[in-house]
Amino acid sequence: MNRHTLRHAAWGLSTLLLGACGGGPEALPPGSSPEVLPVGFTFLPQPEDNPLTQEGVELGRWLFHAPRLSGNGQVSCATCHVQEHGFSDGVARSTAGVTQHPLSRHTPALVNLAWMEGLFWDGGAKNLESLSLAPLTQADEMGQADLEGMMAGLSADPDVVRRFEAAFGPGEPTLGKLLRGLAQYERTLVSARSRYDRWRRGEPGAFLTEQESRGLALVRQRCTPCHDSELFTDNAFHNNGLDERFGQGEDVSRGRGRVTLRDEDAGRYKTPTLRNVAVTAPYMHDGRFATLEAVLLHYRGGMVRSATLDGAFLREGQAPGVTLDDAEAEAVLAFLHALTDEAFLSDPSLGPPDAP
Amino acid sequence: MTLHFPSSMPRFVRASVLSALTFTLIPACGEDTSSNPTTLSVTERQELNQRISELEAEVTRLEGQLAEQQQQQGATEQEKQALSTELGSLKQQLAEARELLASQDWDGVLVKLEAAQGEVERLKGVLAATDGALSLNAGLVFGSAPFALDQTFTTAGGDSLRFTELRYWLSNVKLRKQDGTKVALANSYHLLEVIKAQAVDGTSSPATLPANRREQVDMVAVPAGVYTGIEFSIGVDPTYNDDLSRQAGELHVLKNMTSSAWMWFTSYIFTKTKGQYVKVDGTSDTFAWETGTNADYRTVNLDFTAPVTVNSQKQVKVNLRADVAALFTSLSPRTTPTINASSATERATLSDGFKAMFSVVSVDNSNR
Repeated sequence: MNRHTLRHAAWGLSTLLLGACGGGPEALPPGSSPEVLPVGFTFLPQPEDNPLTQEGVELGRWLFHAPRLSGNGQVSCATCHVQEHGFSDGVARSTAGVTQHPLSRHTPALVNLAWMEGLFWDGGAKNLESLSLAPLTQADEMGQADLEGMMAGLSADPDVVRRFEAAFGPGEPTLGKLLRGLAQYERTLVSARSRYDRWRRGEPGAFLTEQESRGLALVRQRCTPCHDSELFTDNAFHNNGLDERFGQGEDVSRGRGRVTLRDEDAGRYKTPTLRNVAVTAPYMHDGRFATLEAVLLHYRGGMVRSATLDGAFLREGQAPGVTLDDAEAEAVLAFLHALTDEAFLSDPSLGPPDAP
Repeated sequence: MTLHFPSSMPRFVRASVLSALTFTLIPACGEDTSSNPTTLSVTERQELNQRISELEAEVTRLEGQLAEQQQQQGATEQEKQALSTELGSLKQQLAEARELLASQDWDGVLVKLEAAQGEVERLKGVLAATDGALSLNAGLVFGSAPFALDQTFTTAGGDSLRFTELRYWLSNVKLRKQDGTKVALANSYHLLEVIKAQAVDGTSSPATLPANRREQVDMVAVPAGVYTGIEFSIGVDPTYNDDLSRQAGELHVLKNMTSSAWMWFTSYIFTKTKGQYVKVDGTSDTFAWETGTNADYRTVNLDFTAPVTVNSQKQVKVNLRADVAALFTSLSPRTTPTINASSATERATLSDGFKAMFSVVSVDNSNR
């Protein structure tokens, strides 16, 4: 065991031990982001063969903001995953990729991914380590058609080699290390410092207004089981009544069914978190709703039936939907704004790294 | 005395010949010297010197063998430690023998040498018992004919086919012991193929994958033992298939065994079968069949005709027959010209075909 692995092991061990002791923020690597986790979470899940290290996270952060990874050298992950929008981009279907063609889906926000299995709207990417290859090579996104050339370019830059070696020990930068570095950084995109969180932890001066409290109660009552838990998502796939028909084969409108190839998954999409939802407009997998108000109107009365519509929306003697009167909808809206995590959205340690 | 060995002779064979010679010479030497310990001739002294040198060379060879095994992870950490320690003390003994030789303590030299000799033999036995190699040859055929690209074959269903590409991952080779337990071979991810030169997907550089025909995998550090069968899989197991950043064996994203259509599923392409088929109207068209995703992972279990012994003295070559015709027993390019990520049912059938295509022809277990 070399010193490097030893260090990793020691870190993993200390994380494990502290986690077991019920330690909160202390369980995280010292000095690294995130500083806090949502209430009830004691450690940041991470695969045994890619444990978080400060250097690994730093490498990932640098890669995330590096346009040189793209086919035309101008598009980075951060082009579409903009921090102030909860690492989404504010448009329905981005045209910011290398070809400027609209993408087939809305850029998902990157929030609390460490607890998410199945990335993308259809969950096709099984983990953060495998995720990045898709946007990297997709022709309209980063359009990198020459992964080997990209790695050769990185290996020829001493500063880059230094970053890789700091993160993963001596040796050439490899695609595997690149994927692992990005995954480490993405795991640290933890949102747990909203006004709701501070109130939840009982921090001095933290509060929810009476209307927000009612909104929270309504979310817990009417928006579950989908927007459940402290993550405000069940990380599962549901059909929330957007469309009547879905495509076949590899058609993207097949939703989750495109990945599982099962009829019952047609038109199902990953539940997005409600955290930072006020800054991640527009909404749904295709960004069809421009505002939260429009989203609430859809749930209250705009749903359409289809074979795979989620049973949670079925109501006796009524069209499918979520029952909320005007005042309740207002309260829900008010509460959703309390989930905006300004610290997360402006944390410089998650933003572009300083130039070397 | 100089010993000439053909360079083709494996290293350990040379070593054992050498030690056998040493072993027979030493007692003879002992008789000579015990009768008259103080009057050793120059020749006799040189012989003793030679003996020590030979044993030293032997120890160096054993060290090399040990180092090789350590790289191949054949033995446990404790075993390697123990062997290293023993080799160290052997070297110490030989150094002492040299000192005794210099001080003309002939008896002392002989005692040391005999002890060292016994130790060398024992260590060789230990190393031989852990070091083995295995070749697995999956010779491609189509029915009774040898398989080749651009050659016309007729399936049992009457389809006329010409292949342009055949590739598959052969992974997780395990040997089965007589008691039913299995020994897994490390880093067992091998890409077998018959391909023409092709551009590497995901690169615009002039680099191409060269035309290649590979039907054999050679595995080292195979634990010694007596085995009655072999097991291997077609495709990549979920541990590695679910995380494309993990690397083992020959797994790599830039081998044209991944593509954007499959990345959505997070899977390697497990198999590729491509070529032309003749349509009903007599014209020909292309067919392209791929399998992938964890659901398509298949494991093949085959019994050897007779138990085989794996150790450093024995050569083991398993000759399989891989009959491509088996892929076409339930599928026809006429009705199914394309099988890809979204054709789950056809993929399952094709994967079963890959599982069924292998049979044992012979197992060569001769001495090296």
